[in-house]
Amino acid sequence: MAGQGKRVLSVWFPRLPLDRFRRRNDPRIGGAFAIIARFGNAWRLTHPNDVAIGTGLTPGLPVADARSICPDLLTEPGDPTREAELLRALRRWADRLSPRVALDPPDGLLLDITGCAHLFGGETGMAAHARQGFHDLQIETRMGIADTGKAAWALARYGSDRVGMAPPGGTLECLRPLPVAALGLPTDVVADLRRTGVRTIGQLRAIRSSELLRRFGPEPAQGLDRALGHVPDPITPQVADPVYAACMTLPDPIGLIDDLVRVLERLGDSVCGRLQAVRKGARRYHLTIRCVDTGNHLRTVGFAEPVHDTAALLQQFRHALETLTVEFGADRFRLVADDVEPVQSRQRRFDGFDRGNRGGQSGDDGVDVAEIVSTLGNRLGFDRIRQWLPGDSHLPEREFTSVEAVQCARLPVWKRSPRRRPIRLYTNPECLRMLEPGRPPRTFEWRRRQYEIASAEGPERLASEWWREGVRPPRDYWRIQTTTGLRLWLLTYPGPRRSDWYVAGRFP
Amino acid sequence: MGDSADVFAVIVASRLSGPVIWVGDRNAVDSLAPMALQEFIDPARMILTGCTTRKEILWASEQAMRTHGMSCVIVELHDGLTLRDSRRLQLAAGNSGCTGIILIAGRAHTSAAQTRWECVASPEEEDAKGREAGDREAGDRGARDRKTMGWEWRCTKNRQGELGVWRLQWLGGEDGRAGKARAVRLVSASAA
Repeated sequence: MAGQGKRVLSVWFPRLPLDRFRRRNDPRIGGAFAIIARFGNAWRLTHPNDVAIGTGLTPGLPVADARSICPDLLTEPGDPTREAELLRALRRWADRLSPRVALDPPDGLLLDITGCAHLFGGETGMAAHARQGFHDLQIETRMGIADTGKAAWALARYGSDRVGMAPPGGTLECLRPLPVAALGLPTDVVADLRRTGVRTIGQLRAIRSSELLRRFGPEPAQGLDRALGHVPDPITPQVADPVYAACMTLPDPIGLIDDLVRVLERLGDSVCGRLQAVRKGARRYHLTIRCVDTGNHLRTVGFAEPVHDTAALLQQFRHALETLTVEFGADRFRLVADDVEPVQSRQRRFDGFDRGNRGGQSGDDGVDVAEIVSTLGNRLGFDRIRQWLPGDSHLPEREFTSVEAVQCARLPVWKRSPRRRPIRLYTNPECLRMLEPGRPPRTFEWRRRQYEIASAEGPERLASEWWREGVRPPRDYWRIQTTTGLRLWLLTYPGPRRSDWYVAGRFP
Repeated sequence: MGDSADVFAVIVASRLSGPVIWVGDRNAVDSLAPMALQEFIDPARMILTGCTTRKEILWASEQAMRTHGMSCVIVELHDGLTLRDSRRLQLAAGNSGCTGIILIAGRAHTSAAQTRWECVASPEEEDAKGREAGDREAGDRGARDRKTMGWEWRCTKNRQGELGVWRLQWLGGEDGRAGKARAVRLVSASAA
């Protein structure tokens, strides 16, 4: 028999999405609250809380029905990404129980606890320890311990106790009363089995496997074999995402800027050293400073490219440290590297810096450009440092988009525009005052100055893109030249009614 | 200064190689449109910095000018710099060797700048020969392309040289990137 002597602990977090809100002290969790998800065209409850269950709501109920049963119900759509993140964090925590921990998405963990349980005073002690630990993290758990992963999984989810335990070799006896769905079979197979009167695993076990294969396909027999350990069911432990962080606690609080910088330098050396060893860099660094009187302060700096250089770190953090008010001193510091990416080192040119790289076709930024983007971005906000990307449209305002320069990994390639477009494009066209009517107006006032038209070209009629929502009326653009030499782009809306004229842009 | 100052800045920047940082008020920077700029310069070279206050603009432009490898920094301001601010920027730019251009929409104060230019658009001129050719060819579209943009650049202050007025015409860069360079033609110059 495969997996002799092996013991597996399966942890199920039945309310992981709800626990995520509980951990954030969300005020809504006190009342009737439920996590919902979209199935086909309907939103359904997936995780109602105790108050909601008390009013008669069950998982799987459509939200509209639930609202009519319980009008006070508050809901929130589930967020699989964040839940997966929380699960990975719990996986890290579970490292203390066993060296082999595997994720069991979406809401469980599988731990190979062979030879580990005695460290916690036996399996009962270990389960109690784990339960208490997760309880302290405000996570609700159910557990199962058995010889195989499948059986432990079934006990955790379908067992009657909060910790279902199958003694070594007694897996079958424990699984007997459980429903067939505990084998993790597809729903249609479960429904087929139920129609023929097979409800529990014990009943399923009584049928010959050749009969099962013929009637219900391979799944039930395979599931049974894996649960009972006739077929190997290995646990594949994943390596936890490495955390690049360093922490320093001082016996006495410090407050001078030079001292803070020295502390940051040491933390930075430690974190950057580890990053350098694996040739990685981080695009963001978080520094948590605990002041003795005012608690934790978080400062974050970002970089335009992954960095593992303490000097660059210090340079970017200097402003953040200078703006921090430390009255009675700070005694605990923690530096965390975030958004860790591989670093590609590039050979510099002989003259020290790679000058015309940015204009060329190669598509990589000069080192100094990344530096200035980080410097500006950390002070002003990275959303303010932008770059253009070409768009594909005939509408002037959609011919290009702007993205954060930090996110612009490759330089865009521009092709010539077939149309003449203004150098300044006013997002909200400015209304002008017509002095002498005409098409376009012969004399007009704009920005408190009077202009007379010398020549005009147009109209260039642009219809809105019909394949997009919110169809807007077509627009007529005129290219005009005033007598002073100023070239403007006038806009009006064609139609039977006389409409106003706007200045949409200015030509070079 | 002047209403076509941005064109002056872009043409100067296009003569240099390397990245160009445009610092200015958020609204002003947002109104820049790359479709027209690409006639003069590759828009991929530009990095836009939108600021909200004058203090931020000055800080950002000083940081940008200090950076090694920055070829050109274009600063858009409403009123001109004071002597002290402009001297700061000049020192920053002098150390790194980058060109700083300050576009002023309102009043220009006394500053430490090397030169001051006033740029206005001059009426479009049609090349007589081109016009006829255009008529014969395809009519309207051809004729429109024959028209050349023109500007008048007036140097109103120059600490190391003479003042003057230049009138320029854009020869265009039909195949700007590959073959013919984007060129301007000096139409006439007169010393003031």
